[in-house]
Formats: sequence, structure tokens, C-alpha cells
Amino acid sequence: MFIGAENIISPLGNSAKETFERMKNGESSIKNKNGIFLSSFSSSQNELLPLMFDSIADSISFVNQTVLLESKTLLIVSTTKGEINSINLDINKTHLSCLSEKIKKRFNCIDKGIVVSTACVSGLQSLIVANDMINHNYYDNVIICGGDLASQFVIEGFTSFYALSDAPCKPFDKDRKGLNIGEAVSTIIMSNDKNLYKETPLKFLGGCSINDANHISAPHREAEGLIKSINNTLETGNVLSNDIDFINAHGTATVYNDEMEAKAFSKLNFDNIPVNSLKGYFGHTLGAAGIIETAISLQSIRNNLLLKCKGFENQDFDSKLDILRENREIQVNTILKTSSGFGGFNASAIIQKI
Amino acid sequence: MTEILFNKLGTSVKVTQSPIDNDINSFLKEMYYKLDLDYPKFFKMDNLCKLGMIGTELLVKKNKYLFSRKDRIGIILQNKSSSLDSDIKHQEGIEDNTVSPAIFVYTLPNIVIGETSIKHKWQSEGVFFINEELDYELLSQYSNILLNGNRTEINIVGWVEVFKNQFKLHLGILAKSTSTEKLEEVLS
Repeated sequence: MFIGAENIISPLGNSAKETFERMKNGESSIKNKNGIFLSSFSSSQNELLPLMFDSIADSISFVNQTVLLESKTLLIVSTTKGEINSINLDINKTHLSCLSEKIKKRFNCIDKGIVVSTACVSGLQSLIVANDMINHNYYDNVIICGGDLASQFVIEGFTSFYALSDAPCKPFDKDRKGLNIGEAVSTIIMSNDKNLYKETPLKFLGGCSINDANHISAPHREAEGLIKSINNTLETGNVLSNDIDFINAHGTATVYNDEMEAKAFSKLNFDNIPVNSLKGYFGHTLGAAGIIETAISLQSIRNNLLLKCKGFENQDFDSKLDILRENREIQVNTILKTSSGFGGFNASAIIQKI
Repeated sequence: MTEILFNKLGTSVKVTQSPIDNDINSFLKEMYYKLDLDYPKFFKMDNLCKLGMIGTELLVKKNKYLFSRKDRIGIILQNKSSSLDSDIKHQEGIEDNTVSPAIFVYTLPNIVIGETSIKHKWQSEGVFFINEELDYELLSQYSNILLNGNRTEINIVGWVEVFKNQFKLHLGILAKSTSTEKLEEVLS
């Protein structure tokens, strides 16, 4: 399936291009706000829906709208907590399907809207569901929009888990101390029609999400779920591990997540493949994470530039993983994207240059 | 009385609350002992996970032979309120300064898939959708995708909803051999 028309609305910019440019210069939006390091919009953003409207409108501007209108289009909203800030004011507003319904009403190209909510893998899993839906001819196009806010609700929750870092996060670093929460919205459009896109799209070769059946909030020590997920993805996408040029990992910068991922890549002999996590630029954006990180990876491929793993300094693991210390100009054809999250979910997908 | 109904083949189960029956906690506890679960972790879970686990258990007990391949199982669930039942408890914790990770971890709907997978050691492929009501079309489509794509051999598919004292469960089994069968028929 074809993938492109990416948008990002983040504290680093209002388009994928702008966000990528600022990341290229090493900028991060993670700031100390009253003692908590997080990436948040400058004005206090209490609602997700207007951001999703803007993000989808920008993505649609990168495609041929007549083609979009004439073919069958699904909307997938990816979110963990939606409009959770309304929990005390108007509980009905917190129902996640309000988002998909209101977006469907706003954009007449959308035939149906659904919501995927699977914790931190929601974003990547939404892309996988989109690809599956098009592959099975249920839809021609899918608009995937992911978003979450840096709400007090999630900040307090992650604080209780001792999962937050008291400084900008350091993915895969020896001294990593935890994650930073980030807020962002990101949209990607997938289609069976290459001509839908104004700019050359890429190809999404497939993916899956496997449960490690181990623990609801701790990653599997031997990385079994992630390894199985990646193996299944390579098999269904008909890709050999030698073909992978770059890995965009989940890399939350918590002690156990990064250890688990490093173990998986090491066991799969991915030692010489460049790896990054993008959490050091805009934090962990929860339901948006898999989409915003894929959008940046699409920009990386388009610009032949891999971004450094911001925050990473010192190698931790026995493995010889090639974690990017600096931006690297290199042509990449095939990338692996992974996400793991609460509930034991491990998602992976392969994207390739046409 | 809460009603538990199977279809003729025992491949679907529906749990419906009567309008006057308002105690979800006593129902879940009663079912735990009735099913002889012997799984103390059950008591740490939120009600959404407990209900999902009871529903799965009812189906597994009737269809044991189907669940032999633990790595070939799909779990496709949907509900209306996501994890709002636990969200409210976490929000109360924020307000009284008693936030607990044991509650926060349940503020995600897919945890029910995780808990069920752990209980049965299923390295499953799973997804959780949210909608106002049961979307037969979507759930059938995704079940077909997993079965026809050879990603799973058997899927547990359906609705598991809990909000305060209101709850409803409607789950069915879709297997490769019956993949042409419509979800509506299995759940009827």
C-alpha cells in the first residue's frame, strides 16, 4: 500500500516539514514546566478535536481531492485518552468515538470513522489496520489521525509509576531515567492509488501487533513479543533482515523498555543497522507516537537524512547497536518501525521507498 | 438476575444485565467461583478486565479443543466507554492525592486483551476498537483479515462494556473453518 501526505502538529511546528526541519537542527520541545519535563503546546491546549481538524485538513491538501471523494475512504482515529481533560466537566465528551464522528461530519470525503485504542502502540497499530483494510479491498484510502494531550491525568499516572524522567529523556543511554510526556497530533494517508498523492508516496509493506502474554505494565525480559512481531512482519512483507536500512524504535527512555528493545534487535542480529528513537525531540506522544514517528521517518527517507537519537550519549548494552549519535546523510530504502506498550502489545511495520 | 446465554453451538456468549440488577461486583465475584477460576490476580483487575476474562473463560470452557495453538489466536474487542470506569477512579485519586499505579494501568481499554492473553499464555494478535455500538461490519472485516491472512486460526470477537454498574458482554468465536460465517450469525 502507498503511504504519504503526512502532517504533524507539534510544539515544534504545524507541518511535517517544519517539525522535521527543526529536529534536523537538533531542537527539542521538551521543557521544564513547574518541575516536570514535558513537550507541550505554548498556549494551554485543552482540546484535541480542533488540532485533529487542522492536521487532517493539511494532509488532505497533499492529495488529489477529487480522487479521494470518488473512492471509498476510512478514517482511523488513534488515541489513548482523547478529550480526557473534560472528565469532570462533560463526561460524554470523553467518549473516544465522539472524535471519529465529529471528524467524519467535518470532512465529506470520509465514508466511515473508527477508533483504535491500544495504549502506546495505538498509532502504529492504526497504520497496520489501515494497510490491512486496503489490502483486503474493504477501502481504497485510509486517513489515519493520532493524537493525545499532555493531560494532568496521564502525567499523574506516569508519575505514580516512577516512569517520568526529571530531565530531558535519554533514549537507549546508559543513564536514562525515564520518559517525558509529549502532546502532538499527526496524520498520514494510505491508499491503493499512487496517483492520489501530489508528492511521491512510499510503500507500506505490512505489519502486525503481537501480545507477549507476560505482564500488563512491564516489557518481556527476553523481548519475545517484539521478536515475534518483527519476524512475522518481515515474513508477511517478504523482506529479509539484510534489507533493513534503518530502525525507528519506540525508545521511551525507561530502563526496561529500552533494554527490551535493544535485546530484541540484538537477538535478531540488527547490530549494524542505524537505530534512533525520536522521544528526545517531542517526548512520548502516546496515541500519536506511532504516527508522528512514522511521519518523521517518511521525511527522513524523502530527505536522505537520518536524525540522531537525541539524548543518547553512552552505549549501555553488550550489543553493538548502531544508535545514531549524529544526523547521518544516507540513502535509505527500507525502514522498520516498532512500538511497544502497556497490555504487552508489540507492533512492527516495514516501509519502503518506491 | 443477570442472564448468560450461549448460542446453539456454544460458540458465542451473551451476558445481559436485568434492569433491576445493579451490582456488577457481586456478579463478577459469583462467576469467578462458579467457573472455578483459581486465579488470584483476578481480584486486582478492574471490572472491564474481570468481565472480559469471565466471558473468555465461558467460551474457552465450552470450546477447549479450538484453543490448542496458543500462538494462533486473535482477540478483537470493542466497546463504547473505553476504560472510563477506571478513568473516573484515577481522576478521583488525583483529586484526593491518592494516585495509584495499580489503578492507572487500567485506564487503557486494551489491558483486557493483555490480561486475557497472560491468563491463557496466548501470544495473540489483538486490537481494541471504540464505537457507540457493536460494529458488526468492522469486527467481521478485521476477523477475516487475521484469518484469511493466516495470522490467526481462531479469533475471539465482540463487545465488552463496563461503566459504573452498567455492563454488557457479547463475544463469539470465529475460526478459519467458519470464516465465511457472518459475525451476526455467530452472535445471534
